[in-house]
This record gives sequence, structure tokens and C-alpha cells, in this order.
Amino acid sequence: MNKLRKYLKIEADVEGMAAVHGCSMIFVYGLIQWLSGVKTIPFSIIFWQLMLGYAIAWTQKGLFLKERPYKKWEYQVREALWCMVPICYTLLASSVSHWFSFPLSGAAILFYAILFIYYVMLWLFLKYFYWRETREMNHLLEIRRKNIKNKVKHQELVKEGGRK
Amino acid sequence: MKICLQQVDEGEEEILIRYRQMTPRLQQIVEYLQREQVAVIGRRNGMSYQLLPEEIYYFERVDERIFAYTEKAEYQVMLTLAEAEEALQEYGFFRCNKSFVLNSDHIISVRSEMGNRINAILDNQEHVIISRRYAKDFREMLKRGISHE
Repeated sequence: MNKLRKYLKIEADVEGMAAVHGCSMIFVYGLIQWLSGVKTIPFSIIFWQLMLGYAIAWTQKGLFLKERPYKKWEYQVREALWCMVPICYTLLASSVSHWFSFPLSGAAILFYAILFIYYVMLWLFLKYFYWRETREMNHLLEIRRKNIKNKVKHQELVKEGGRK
Repeated sequence: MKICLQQVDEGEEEILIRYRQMTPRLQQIVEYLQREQVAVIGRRNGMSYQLLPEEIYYFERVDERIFAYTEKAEYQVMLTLAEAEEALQEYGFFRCNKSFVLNSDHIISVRSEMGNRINAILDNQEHVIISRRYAKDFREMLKRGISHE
């Protein structure tokens, strides 16, 4: 039951992120196609992009799923994969389901470039968010540790007083 | 302040505080004396040891057994993680992931990481993960400035 509850929570997280990825991809693809003069997009491509968003979100979640500390290099590799894997998936999915015709046009290259920037920006945003939170928490922790130190000092004084 | 100590052979031990006015310092002394000293019984190499909460860094569940870790050794305890968390909450212990109950007084710094989890660095340089599920409670605990007061 606990495992199911945990899975459902993760699934909810993943679906949120999948929606962001999917919508971004559909929007960027639609915009570029529209600017290139294409007025209609087949549903199969939109469906692929939604599914791809879901797969990317699960992969990104899976990279940081374990409840154990990662070594520094291991964490950095996972972060790099967090940015790179979505692009690999997108390249693979787009070639399998023929989003662009070959040879690749400028529009296709622009699409991949924007998506790459999107994932890197998302990663940078998250890094900034976590950096700020780390700073704030360490500040609060510092205050708390000072309070504890003062309290321990006081207790030692009380003990010393008792011994005298 | 004059401190008098008197040894008695029989009867209940007592502490009498005579004061004109209750000061914060006196209040703290009273609180300290009133506080019950909790100890955890840990077993190691067939021997039982009394562990003070402040000595314990964390409790960990390993294969359905619970261990208490101090700076130098580990002891098997007969508590569940839920019991340890409940009994030692006022000493700064909290559940940080499904297998750990951590003493927050031993955390020297934290790092917020991808996946909304927190990497806590202890004063013995060990790293413990506060999982996403418990990270929210930890953040609130820090914001409220709760210590075991």
C-alpha cells in the first residue's frame, strides 16, 4: 500500500513535468511549422510529442529517485544526463515518427536548438532555485545551531553550579 | 547565589530552590531539572549500553533491524523508527527518509538537490538524504526555529 502511495506521488510529479515538456514541445514545433508556412500538423505528431514529454519526465525523475547520497561526480553526471537525455530522446522520436523531412531544414535545426536551450534553461533555473534554498536553509540552520550552543553552554553552567 | 548541597542517607532526594523573584535563569534551571533524561538502550557485542539522545547521530533500519549510530560505534536497538522518532522528537530527532531517523542537532550544513531532496551533512562528515516526502517538514522545522527547547 505504501509502495503504491509512493508510486502515485511520483507519478503525479512526473505528469506535471510531462505536461510542461509536452506543451513546450508542441508549442515550439507548431510555431516553427507555422512560421515555415505549414498550417496543419497531424495528430500523430502531437501524440508522439506528448508521449515523449512523459518519457522524458520519467527519465529525469528516475535520475534522482534513490534515497541515498550520490558522490559528487555521480551527481554531476546525472545532472548532465538530465539535460542531454531529453535531446537524444527528441532526436530519436522525431526521426522515427518523421517530424521533419530529410535533409534537415533550418526549421528542424532551430527546433532542436530551442529545445536544447529550453532544457538547459530549465536546469539552470532549478539550479538557481536549489542554490537559493540551500543558502536560506543554511542560514536558518546556523541560527538554530547558535541557539543550541548557547543552551548547552547554559546547561554546563547549571551543572557546574550544582557541583559547587 | 548561594548553593548548598547536603548529602542524605535515607529518604527521597530533593532539590529546594529559594528565590525572591523567578528570573529567566532560575526558570531555565527549573526546566532543566524537570526535564526527564531519556536514554536509549543499545546492544553491541552482547553487551547493553545506555545511549544519551545527544550522542546518537541517527537511527537506521537495516533488514528490519534498527541501529543507532554514535560518533564511534553502532548499536542495535529494540525500537521501531516510529517509536524512536516519537520518543526523541524533543531532542531534535525527525524522520528524514523511509529508513532513517536523524538527529538534527548533528547537521552542520544542508544542500538542496535535484528531485527536491536535501543532502544533510553531519558533523562527522557523513551525508544523509532527507527525501522529498520529509523535506517539507524539515524546512518548516527550520523556519519555525524549533530545537528541543
